[in-house]
Amino acid sequence: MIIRGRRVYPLKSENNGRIVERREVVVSPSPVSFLGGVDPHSGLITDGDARGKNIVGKIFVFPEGRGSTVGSYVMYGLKRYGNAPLAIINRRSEIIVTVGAIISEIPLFDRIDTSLFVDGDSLSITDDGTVELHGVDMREAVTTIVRSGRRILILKRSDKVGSCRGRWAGVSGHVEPEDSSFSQRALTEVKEETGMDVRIVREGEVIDIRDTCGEKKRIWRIHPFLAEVSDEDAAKMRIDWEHTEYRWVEPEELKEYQTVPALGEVVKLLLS
Amino acid sequence: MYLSRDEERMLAGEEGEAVRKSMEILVALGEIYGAERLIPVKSAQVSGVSYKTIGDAGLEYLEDLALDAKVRIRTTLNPPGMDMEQWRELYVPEDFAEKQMQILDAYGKMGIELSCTCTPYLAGNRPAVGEHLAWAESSAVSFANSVLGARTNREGGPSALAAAITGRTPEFGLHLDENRRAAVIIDVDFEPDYFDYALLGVIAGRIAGGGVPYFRGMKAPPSEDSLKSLGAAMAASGSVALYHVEGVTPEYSKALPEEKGVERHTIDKKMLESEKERMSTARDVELITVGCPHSSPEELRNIAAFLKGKKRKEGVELWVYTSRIVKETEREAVKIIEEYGRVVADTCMVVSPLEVRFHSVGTNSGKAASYLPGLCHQNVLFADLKTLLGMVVE
Repeated sequence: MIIRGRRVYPLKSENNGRIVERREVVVSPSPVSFLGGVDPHSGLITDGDARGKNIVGKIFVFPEGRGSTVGSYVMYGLKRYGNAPLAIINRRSEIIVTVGAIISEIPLFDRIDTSLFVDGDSLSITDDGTVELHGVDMREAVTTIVRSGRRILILKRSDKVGSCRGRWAGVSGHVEPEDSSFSQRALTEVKEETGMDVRIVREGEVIDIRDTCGEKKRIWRIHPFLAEVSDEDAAKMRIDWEHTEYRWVEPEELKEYQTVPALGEVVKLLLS
Repeated sequence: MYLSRDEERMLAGEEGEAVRKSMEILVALGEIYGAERLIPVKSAQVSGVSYKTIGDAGLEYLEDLALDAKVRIRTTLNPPGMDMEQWRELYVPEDFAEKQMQILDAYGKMGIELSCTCTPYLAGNRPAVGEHLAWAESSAVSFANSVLGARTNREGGPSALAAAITGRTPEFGLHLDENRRAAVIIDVDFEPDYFDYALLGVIAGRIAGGGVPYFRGMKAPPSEDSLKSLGAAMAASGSVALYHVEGVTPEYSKALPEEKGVERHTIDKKMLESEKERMSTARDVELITVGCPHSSPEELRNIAAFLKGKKRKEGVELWVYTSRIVKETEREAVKIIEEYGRVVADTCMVVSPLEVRFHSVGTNSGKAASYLPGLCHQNVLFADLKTLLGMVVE
């Protein structure tokens, strides 16, 4: 899978313009404060949800920097003591990490969705800001949130489906080459999996989601839809082999369910 | 981003490694924040001076940089972690002092004035309206932008240094007119006194976040000392780098072209009282600290006037912080205050290692009250000057 970002600070590239070739990733899902959050003498992350991970010689991926501007000096310390990461990838680069990267000569790339990466990923970075995520493919899919009044439909995925078994989800399905449109695919999936005829009322923005259910080898490019169903049609609801249970829930209740990755985000996007 | 031929040469390393690195920093920041060009700056104020905050990593960076870096504009320095003359009497550990001196040596080698104050505008560098600067130190940034009408972003230590070494900064943020307009109106429905401005700042900073507040409703124009205190508190509880006061600050008349659609808040006296309660975690204190930001000549004289002739009560220490230059020019006030406590120069309560000796301090500064619990592990009594000084005299 190829992801295009922006180069903020490059360092000498080696073969084929690559700055790093197939190197391991360490991820912090939340913003990082280098001051008080990373130990320059060991490269150990000491604060936040990535606490205990080590960034020495790794590609360090986190959404953005935060905290004191002294953090730039801590990055310099990491380099000086031989504990610097090989490169940094941010969603948004800000002043602390940018300055730190430059004074410490650590390659820095931004405008990349950092939620797509997990620990242990193997990455190559080219100096034009292109990132290749090895061993991970991308598939397109549709997800439809069916709404009846205030409630939305969620379904529990059966043991027979290909991914995220046992998790709660919207009505989802792969996009097939013969599909004429994403919305057509969405309607087909709803009909197959629930028996209902629905009306699409909103098409959400495309969102890329890392599949963290199983072997983590896939990124889903999700085309989200919001659909409405009449009471009469809702009464026709029945599930097929792909699901074992279904419920109509208030959007706020979603957090009580173990869902597929980013379902809450998709719902929020569609209902906002 | 457009670079002049000279700037291209600097970026290419033709004026040395330090200039090249500094240009790289400024160009990268300019790209990130959408600047179209670099502009010359008149002066720089560099933060990241106390060994307590920058540690060995910062010291080593500065020593490496000082090998070939020279500043090319007037550059002043933030407070270090100790009074450079009487640090022994102020319980600063020997090894801390040694590192602190190395840091100042590195800055000195680069040609930076060792002014050691967060109030450069009271120590000989008072920028004019419209002057472009690259200042770090959030309270000085706020004062320069708001009270003096100069223009600076809220720089960090390294970016201010890069500006000092090249004489330039990327043109974005508060260097541009369109970003200096009010984002939130704050109606003050009482007549604040000097200490109220600290409380007002703590609350307003939380409301404004990183935006530009516009104050109105004060009938008597606040003194410069009150504005200094207000801005410092807002920069600590929020990240306010510019504010306007109707009828007072130099840009207020251009700051609010249209009131419609601008968020509005009212702050009343009751909110101040509960804020004071909330921030006070101590009743009895071991030490009174005044002078954050560094005391002005007027503030020193006021303290001296209050104390003069009163009988010293034992138990609580009094430390009044100011810049060395103000300490040296206000000899009379200093002499009086020293009968009751210490006048500490260069450093301040926030960046010095107070915690090696004290656990509870009193202060009248919204900025200090915000930072003392986290940075110095202190319980804080947040109170007005008379209440605090009343604890050291009969």
